[in-house]
Amino acid sequence: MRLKIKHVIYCLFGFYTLMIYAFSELKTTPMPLIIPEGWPKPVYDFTKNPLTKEGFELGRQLFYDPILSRDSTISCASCHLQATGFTHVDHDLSHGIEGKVGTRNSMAIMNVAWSKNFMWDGGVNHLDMQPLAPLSSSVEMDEKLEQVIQKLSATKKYKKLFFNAFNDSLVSGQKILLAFSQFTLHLNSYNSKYDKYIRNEAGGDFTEQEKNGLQLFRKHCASCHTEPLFTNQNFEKNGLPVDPTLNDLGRFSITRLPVDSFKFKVPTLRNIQFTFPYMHDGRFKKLREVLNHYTETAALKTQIILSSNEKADIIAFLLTLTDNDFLFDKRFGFPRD
Amino acid sequence: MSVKSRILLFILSCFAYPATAQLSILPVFGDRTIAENTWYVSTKGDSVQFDNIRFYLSDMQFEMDDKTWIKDTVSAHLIDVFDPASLHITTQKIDLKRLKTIHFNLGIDSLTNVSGALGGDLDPQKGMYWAWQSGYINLKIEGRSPRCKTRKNAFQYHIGGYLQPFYSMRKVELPVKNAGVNRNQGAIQQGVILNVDFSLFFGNLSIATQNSIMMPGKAAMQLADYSTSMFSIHATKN
Repeated sequence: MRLKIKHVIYCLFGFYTLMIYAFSELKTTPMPLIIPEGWPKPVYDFTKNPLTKEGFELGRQLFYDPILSRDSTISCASCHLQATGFTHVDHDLSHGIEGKVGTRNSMAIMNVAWSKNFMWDGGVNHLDMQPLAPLSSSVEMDEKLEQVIQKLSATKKYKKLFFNAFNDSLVSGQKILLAFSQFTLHLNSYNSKYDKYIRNEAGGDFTEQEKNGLQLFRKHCASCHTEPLFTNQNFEKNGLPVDPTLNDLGRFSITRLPVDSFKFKVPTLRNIQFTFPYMHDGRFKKLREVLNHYTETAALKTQIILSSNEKADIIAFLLTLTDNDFLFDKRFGFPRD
Repeated sequence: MSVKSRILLFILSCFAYPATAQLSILPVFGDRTIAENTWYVSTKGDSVQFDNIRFYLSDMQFEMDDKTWIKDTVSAHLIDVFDPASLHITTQKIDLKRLKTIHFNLGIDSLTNVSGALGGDLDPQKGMYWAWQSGYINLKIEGRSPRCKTRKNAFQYHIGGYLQPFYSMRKVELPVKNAGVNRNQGAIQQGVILNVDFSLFFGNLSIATQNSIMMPGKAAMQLADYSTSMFSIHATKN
């Protein structure tokens, strides 16, 4: 009987406390994703991770913080620099902790809300799970999620940031991953000269060469690099000879289906002016080399035939995919406080 | 867990407390309970010792003798053989006398595998998630055997994979009636005892050659098939 009375008292006390909490204001500020007109519906399910200013800010801090790596030397931004479309410029293979070199060229981070899977082989099945790969890779950050949680929990700064974003200062793997998505989902590029041309806006006047480049692009390239995202999100075999020093089987290593051998994810071409070197192993430094590969290879379903002038036109068009608003947006840069 | 949900849970538990049942997991190797730093001998004559055994039980459902089904409120439980707290699962009240069959999945279903960052026992911080090839590890068995000519004689089985044809989650269905005698009588006062006998897993295996399976594929599928035989209901009490 005494136990029951105790229970009732605890219940009432609990209920009272709950009411106080229920009516206390949630301090998060919604920050919904801007979906450009005419774009497809995003793949990401925002109902499970509603975007907020506070979540974005936490994700941004995490993105730029080397605390994530085992020896606090490498942050996400080490290989994903804003000014080059959030990728590692001028390295064929990206390098991480202690100067160790990986087996692929880092991918650009852009318009990820529309991506079904991630990495060159599509091994990561959801944006939320993407940070786990570089985090645990022995040649990138070489760190365990449990360790990151401990390190973040020991700082006042992150306790506060987690509280702001989730109304709870307790750090967890789930919250870290959701916060990363909050940041990267906003890394959207949709204000290039090409976009302005499509939208008939000021600054979108194409030269004759760029117009011709777009026509040629639509004829020869767009089946894989489909507008407006400039990727069909599929895995394709593009005829690159295998690099025997890497023997990268691509998508096959995930699906184990022979048909997927040497297939790699079709990357976006947005901001391609700055994302060099190109291809999954960064083997080409210049766009001209990429186009030469596509006209020389016999591996494509339909042979691409382009004159030298036509290649120049396509490259002129590709340069219209540069989006300086995105590359220099202060909200996406290193957080200076 | 947020302060708010903790309080809510507390209030709920005030009301729910008398109406729960226990499902206890009893990890054994043949007729011996599994403990750390202890040698066991498989039916194939292999000596084995365990450092880490963890697995997911998910989508648990209780089928009653009147054909009603009661669903567990928690979608997945991470069982750690060396963490006693994880060996007792509290479910909602069920009339054990009328319990006919227990259904659960060993591992995590494909939908959950593609649902992004989840919390609780499904938080990737639990170490049961693959980074380079997304997906949960359904069952992890790590240990040593002199039969394994590997570094430190280690064997490690990480069984997972959610994509066909290597979908390694397994459905388990255990009739409760005709249950055997509870070996651990007295230790567990109430509820269902789920016996997990790892000797049945190792009885199938050639650990000299199969000692490191860490990715989805044919080998993982075979081990997943072996793993379902480990489960049985040993006794129920009311």
